[in-house]
Amino acid sequence: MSERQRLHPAAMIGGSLKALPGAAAGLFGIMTATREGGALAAAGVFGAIGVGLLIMAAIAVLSWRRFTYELLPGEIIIEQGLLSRQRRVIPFDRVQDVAIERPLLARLIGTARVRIETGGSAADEGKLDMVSLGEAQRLRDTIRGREERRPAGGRPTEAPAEEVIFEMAVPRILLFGLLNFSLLFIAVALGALQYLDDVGLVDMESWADEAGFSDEQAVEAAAAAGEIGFAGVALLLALVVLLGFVTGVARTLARDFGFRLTAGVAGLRRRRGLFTLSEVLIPARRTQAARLDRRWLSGWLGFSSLSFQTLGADRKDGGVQVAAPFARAEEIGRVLDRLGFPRPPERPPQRTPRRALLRRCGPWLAAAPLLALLGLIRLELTAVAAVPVLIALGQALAWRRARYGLMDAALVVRSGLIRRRIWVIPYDKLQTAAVTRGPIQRLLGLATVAIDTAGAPALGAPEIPDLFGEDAETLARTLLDRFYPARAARKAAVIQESPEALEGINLAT
Amino acid sequence: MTPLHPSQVTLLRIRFAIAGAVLAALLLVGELVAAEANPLPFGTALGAGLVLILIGVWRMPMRRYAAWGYRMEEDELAVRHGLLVRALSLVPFGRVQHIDLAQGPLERALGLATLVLNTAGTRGAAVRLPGLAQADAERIRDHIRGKIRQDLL
Repeated sequence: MSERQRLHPAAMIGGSLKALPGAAAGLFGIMTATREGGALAAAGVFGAIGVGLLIMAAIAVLSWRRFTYELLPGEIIIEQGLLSRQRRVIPFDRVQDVAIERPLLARLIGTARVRIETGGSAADEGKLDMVSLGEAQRLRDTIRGREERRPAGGRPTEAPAEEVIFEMAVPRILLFGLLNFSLLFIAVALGALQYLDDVGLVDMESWADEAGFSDEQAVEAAAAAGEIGFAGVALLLALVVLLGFVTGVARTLARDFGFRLTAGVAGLRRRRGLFTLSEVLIPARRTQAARLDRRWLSGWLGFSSLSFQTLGADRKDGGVQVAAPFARAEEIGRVLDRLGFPRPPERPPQRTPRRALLRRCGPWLAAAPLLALLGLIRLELTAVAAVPVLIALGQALAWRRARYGLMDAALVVRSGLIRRRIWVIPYDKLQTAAVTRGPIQRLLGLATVAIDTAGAPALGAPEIPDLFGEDAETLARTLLDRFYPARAARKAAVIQESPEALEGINLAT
Repeated sequence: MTPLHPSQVTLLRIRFAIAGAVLAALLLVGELVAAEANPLPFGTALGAGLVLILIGVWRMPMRRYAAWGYRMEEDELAVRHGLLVRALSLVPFGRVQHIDLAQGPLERALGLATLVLNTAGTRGAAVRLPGLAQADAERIRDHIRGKIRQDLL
């Protein structure tokens, strides 16, 4: 076990394959450029390309030979580097998660990519791309071994039997995909079409032809409705909307196919993916907060999504992991129960004072008449004033959404306008609390309470805006007063569960 | 709330004065270069700028200083700061991952130090408390360190 290992030989090809599309495009470019150069020039170019390929292959082989890893008791050592050697030691204590990913190519040849995440800031802290599937599972089991404490009789290559607590069948994923269609995509596609039409690359009229309109009809329509023709536009719109739906469904299907959330000793394990199979552990002890998102259309059908904020600062999504992307309230409740989170009420008891409306809408409403003065320049410009009015309206609706509640074990914060978001933050996970007052808030005697937790997203972290100044300070005080006993209790529970965990208790857990 | 050490005003004043001197120099250069295009008599802009800079150097450090304050409690540190956006941060010692005691050259000369409490959070990850007398800063640091050790046991 404690001997240096290399990656799967296929890793040599893996990197080159990814570079292939670019190389092919380059080759094509060179070929067209030298088309007039004659045979000699062509031979020279191909010779150079051949040498280049040889060098690339040599580098691939050498870096593969230089990349070794070694499993020692309690730590893994990864050595790599062609010119400058790098040796990285990752103690198992510090490992947040071992993720196994299987891109399409890896699945074809029976390999997997292993990512060892430590919660540090560097991306790819411990990436083994690629090893054989059996080796990947062995690595995961060994590194996680401490936390999982698997029974000694278990087979080493197979994950212990875990209870499935949430999964999505294909019809559910399809529905999710349908509701997940990207408005942004539609906007971009329409914009692109408009641009192409302007440049003359796409003749929108000819689209109408292909769809079965005769020339005369198209010409008539074009004459009737300006340049592209009404039928053409309608058809195009329908096409773009359809395309939006199709891409939404395809994207969702590719990402969430076979979605399955299981519960083990260490936490929740999420498997999903059609082409790229990914497996992620949401460690129970390192979970900081739960986030429930409900979008308007899917929410109306009774579906919301549940994510957990974990301590993984090395992730691009700020350590927030989806646990159930499209689930009914009852299913979400079960997942929450499993990690010991309280089920939040739909409508937390406290709201922010009416004066908050002044802070939210006041400045916008004040800006509206000023913008309306633009009407003096040109009458049409008066319409610009509608924008701040609409924003103020949105803010007023968002005020109605903004609620919070101090539950027995957690703070619940609700916010959002189109997307309703509920944060559930157990008191013992609090890092710091802050009361802030902006200039307008000071004028109105209001203050915002911001709650900081480990791995919180930089933007959109939970906060309770616009409370009366004194109430805000009392709330921050209450949060800390609840934090101390909750944290002491959590620590006692952890120590009782596993006395040897004492030295390993991260301050942040 | 405990105010910062009075020397912090001096420190801020020196910093403001340096920035003000740079600004004044820029104004002077501007006056010299654009003397012909400038309809105002020579030195008007410079003079007005100097007055503003002097007011700034005199007033701002005091306002900045007054915005700061801290309160040491048994298990937490409360820090008040900010002029435009006023903030009060509460940091429980149990959450402090590590403590920095920083001293720039100016701070060293004035016997001041900046205490930085680092937590695992995102927004309030590093709570700074500048303008402490060095002895105070060390005392606070040792107290917090003791608390963290207790917390671990």
